[in-house]
Parts: sequence; structure tokens; C-alpha cells
Amino acid sequence: MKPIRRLLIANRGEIAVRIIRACRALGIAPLAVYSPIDAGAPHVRLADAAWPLPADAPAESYLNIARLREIARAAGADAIHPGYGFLAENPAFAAACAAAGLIFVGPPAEVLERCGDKVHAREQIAAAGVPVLPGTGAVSDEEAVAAAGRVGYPLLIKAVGGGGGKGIHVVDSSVDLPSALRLARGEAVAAFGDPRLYLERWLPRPRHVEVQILADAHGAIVHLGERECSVQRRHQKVIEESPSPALTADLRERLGAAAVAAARAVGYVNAGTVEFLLDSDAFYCIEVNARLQVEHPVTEMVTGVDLVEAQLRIAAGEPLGLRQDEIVRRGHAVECRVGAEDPHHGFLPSLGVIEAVREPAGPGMRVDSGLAPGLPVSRYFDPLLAKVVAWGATRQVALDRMAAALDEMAVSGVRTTLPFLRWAVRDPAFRAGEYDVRFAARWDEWVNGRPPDQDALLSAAIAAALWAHHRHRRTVLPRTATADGWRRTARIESLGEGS
Amino acid sequence: MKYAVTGAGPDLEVEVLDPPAGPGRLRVRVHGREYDVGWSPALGSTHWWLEWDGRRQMVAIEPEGDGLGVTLAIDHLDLRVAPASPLPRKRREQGGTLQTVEVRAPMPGLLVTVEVRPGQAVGAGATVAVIEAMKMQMELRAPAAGTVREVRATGGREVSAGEVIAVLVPDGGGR
Repeated sequence: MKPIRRLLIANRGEIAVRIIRACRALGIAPLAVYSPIDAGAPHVRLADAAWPLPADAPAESYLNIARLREIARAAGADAIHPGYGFLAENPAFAAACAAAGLIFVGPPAEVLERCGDKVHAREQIAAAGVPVLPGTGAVSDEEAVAAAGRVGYPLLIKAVGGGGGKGIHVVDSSVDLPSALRLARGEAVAAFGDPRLYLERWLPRPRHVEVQILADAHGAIVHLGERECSVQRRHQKVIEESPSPALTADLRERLGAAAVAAARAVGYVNAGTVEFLLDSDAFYCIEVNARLQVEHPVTEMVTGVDLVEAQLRIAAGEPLGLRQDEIVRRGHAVECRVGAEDPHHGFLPSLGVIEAVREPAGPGMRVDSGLAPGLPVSRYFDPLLAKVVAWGATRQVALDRMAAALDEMAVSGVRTTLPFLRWAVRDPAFRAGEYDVRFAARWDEWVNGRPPDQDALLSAAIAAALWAHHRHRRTVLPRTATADGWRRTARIESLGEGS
Repeated sequence: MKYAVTGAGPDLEVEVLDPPAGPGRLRVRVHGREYDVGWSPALGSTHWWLEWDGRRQMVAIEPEGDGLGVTLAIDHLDLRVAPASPLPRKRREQGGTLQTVEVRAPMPGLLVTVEVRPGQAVGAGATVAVIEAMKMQMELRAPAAGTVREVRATGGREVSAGEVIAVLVPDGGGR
């Protein structure tokens, strides 16, 4: 066992901030890195020290293994946490850390290798008696065309080295296969540096349910229950909750046992997630995500387990110290991902500089955020800005708190997915727990397929006119109505004038 | 002061009346009805508190070209606002018949490839170019069948939002 004293965090944004918080709670010194545009980012200011990376492009910054290793040495780090994305599931990086005598906070290189080879991992998981979907191994374009008929349309093209929804394409017919293969290969190279693709049967309306597991280096494995992740856009999760409204107690138990079996089949160590597709009461394991998931907070909220702390302890060689029957889940948690995408214009990335932020708070609320005024939102990185998490004793209470929190939140400088999230958590089908992976697509129908709401139109028209009026005649507002007026009054009062 | 608000549904005339209703409050007249409205800055240069008819809401307003993008809690409207003039507004003349269609980058990013050459015939929905941002690739497709008149960008370079990538002459769309 080797205690961690100085942890280098090879990531940015909200997850770097999250890991820094775990370090502070454990008395570990958090050390940050940053690309040039992230120089003023919250994770840089919250860490004990921060080192610059040469350029913004991911290959030069948060994927730059050689530079990160140099920084780790210069910083006297004894461990590296990769967060999610970037190098989190890169076996070469885990091996490079081990070779340099650094603890990699995640599974060992050989486990990453095993889980990263999705095709091989699926075979091992199937051999352990866990149901999987039909599919192929890594295929060339010609082989894909030949195998597609056997897998059956519609099918999914997925990146062998993939994760996080990148490089995934749904293909409805053989006509679309060649162009989809080309796009998927381009994305796979850009995102993972690995052009290999495979095909998998696609279920039209499944639910996406995943199970959090923790495994120590001494053979103990427990699961921390499921997360329902069926609200997705472009195969990216946007809302997650735990427990899943779709599971019966019996199904939940079988899913948990299957997740532990799958983790054991690939020799898993550290925190991981076993993903399943649920088709009424049949489930299929699709992959093991060998990292901390973006949506880990919902599990933390219902179990009370700090997953980053668990990761650090496991990485240091400590035994789990947690038996399956000691994991008690309480209440309901939901997470909404706030991203820099414009939901009214096809969810196009919205780039710019954050001008100001208003984050929600209150009973049962948690906000994991990488937002700060002045932060550039660039095309180089993922659009995720912040995660709003609500806990309640019941699902109803958690969703009510979430709806209020989303109304409270505001970001100035870029467009965000907040309007979509506000719509989703109020949608009757979502409220009833009756939704699947096609749910989010209903937003487009809702936005485009109805006459403009009279109340909204009137509010918008009045606002537009007042905005124009304010621009033309700034003096029209009485001074006391403005923030400046309040501030001046406060200043005068604090000086004791007139008392 | 009267403002003409156009762009979404029926045109509206919003009159901001003098004097204001009180501290931080304005009076507006819409559809012949007068409202007492609260209006104050909420966040940054974009977000405002709007309170009328007993309800307070945050509204984001961003200039967009020569219009305004107005975002309420869930809804978004693209509006134009101008001081209402008693004279009938001059309609902007259309520049003759529509003869070309521009394929523009919908977002800033890396132009991965341009798949067409000048003179090439393309079908509706054909891939014109591939653009990448935030690790996602997106195909720009021909909005109509036609002939490529001009290619203004090359693969491998950064493009800005709205930048013209290629110009097409739609079939039957001019000479």
C-alpha cells in the first residue's frame, strides 16, 4: 500500500474541480494542468499549483502523455487522476504512469486494454453468462458491408476504441452504410486516434441502464445500484437518474448481479460502470466503461459513497471496506447536464466567452461546475459546462427540486441546453417515468411543431421592446431600479451617512 | 415611444409610456391594453428580469444579425424590433429571382474536407463538406440539386460560423 500525497489531475472543467474537492477532503495536494485558453479556469485556481500545457488542441494538451509525465515528475506527484474522456481509458498512458512509478487512478493498463477492446470484452462477458447483443469484431469497410446483412438493419457503427457516444452512428439501410462508415472513422480518429470500427445490432426503443461497480485490487467487487440514462442526444447522455423508474426489485437484483459478473469476467479493478440496454424485461450488456462516469453524482447522492475518494483509496491499494449488504440506497437523485449547445438551433455548439453565471442551490441540490466568468468555450473541448444534481426522498420531490433549480440557473455568454432540460423535467411522460432513448428527439417536434404560445410571444415582444427602449434611452429607468443604484445606496449606508 | 416587433407570428406594436409606473417599473401598451411591467438587469449583458401580469421571469436577449434572439425559460423567438414609424415601412426588395444557394458553415470549426469541385453536378442532400467541432463531425449537404458554381474554402482549415463554403446554382435556378 502506497498512500497518495500529491495528485496530478490530467483533466479540465467540472471533473477537475470535482477531483480537487475529493483531494481536499482527504488531505491530498491537488495539482492541475491547463491548456492556454484554460489559464483562468476554476480548476487552475482551486489547485495547489498548476502547470501550463503547450497548446489547446487535445493532442497537445490533455492528451499529451509525454508532457504530462514530465509535469508529474517536476511536480513531485505520486499519482495521476485522468478524470473521464481524454486519457482515462488509454492503456498506454496507464502503462506509462506505472513505468514512471506513478499511481494511475483507474484500472491497470491490462484491464483498460481488455475493456477498450469492446469486441473481445463482449466475448468474455458473454462467456460469464451475461447476455450481450449480436455484433461483429473490428471490421474494414468491405467486411462491414458484408457482415451488415447478418447483424441486421438498423445497426450501430461503434468505435473499437470509443466511449462517451463519440463515433457512434445509426444506419437504417445499406444505402447509408458507406457514408456513415466514413464519418464514424473520421470521428474515431479525431476522438480516440484509433480508426477501428465494429457493428452491433440496434434496438429501436431500448432504455439505457447502467450499474456502478467498485472493485479493489484484492478481489472484492460490489455494485452501487443502477443509473437510468435513457435521455440522450446524439448518443450523449443528458439526463440521468437513480434508481431507474423502469426496474422491478427482481430485475434490479439480476442486473446488479450481472454487472458484478461482467466486472469479474474482465478482471476489473477500481470504479467502473457496466452498461446495459433494457428491452422490456430483457437486458443486454453492451460494454464496461473503465472510468469514472460523468453521471457518477446521482449514485453518490443515493448511496452516500464518495466515488472519487473510493477511486483514490483503491488506487492506493486499500481494501474496499464495504460489503454489498452495507450499501444502502436512499431516496432518488437526478442529474441534468448543462452544455454549450443551442437547443433551438439543432443543438449546434455555442462558442464564446462566459460573461456571467448564476448557479442554483437549496435543499438536496448539488452543482458540479467548471464555469467562471471569462472562461472561453472553444471548439477544442467537450460542450459540458456544469451538472445540476437534485436529490429528494421521492422521485417526485427530486424532479420538483430540479425544475426549480433549472429555472434559477443562468449562463451569459453562450447558449446552453437549459431550455431543453427545463422542458424535459416537466414533460408528462418523463414525469411518469415512461421514456426510452427516443425521448429527447421529441423536443424537436415540440419546438417546431406547434403554433407560437401567445403568452410567450407577448412576453418576448415586451422584453424585446424594453430592451430596445433601454438601449435608446438608458436614462428612462429610475436610478434606484438598477443594480448600480442599489450598490450606491448600500455604499452610502455603509459609510454611515444620514444615520 | 412605440416599437414594432416582428418575426414570430402576428406583428405587434409595443408602446412604452411616459412617465414610468414607479421605481423600476414601466408602463407598456400592447393590443390596446396597458400593463405595469418590472424590468431590471439579471445577469451579464444578456439576461433581464421581466415581471408582468403577476409573473416574474428571466429573459435572455442577444442581438443576432439585425434581429434579436429572445430566450424565455423554454421558448426561443427570433424577433426584429424597430421604432414604429407612422410611414409605411419600405419592404426590402428581393434581388431578382433566387439564382444561387450558399452552403454555409453552421458553426465555427475545422473544415475536414470539401467533397465537391466547381462545375460538378450534385443531387439534393449530397455531401458538400464535412466540418468538425467539439470532436463531432457533421456533413454539410446540398439543400437542392444543382451545379457547384464556386468553392470558397479548402479542407484542413478553420472556418467561422456562417462562412460560405460553396455556392450552388440550383437546377432551373438561373443561367
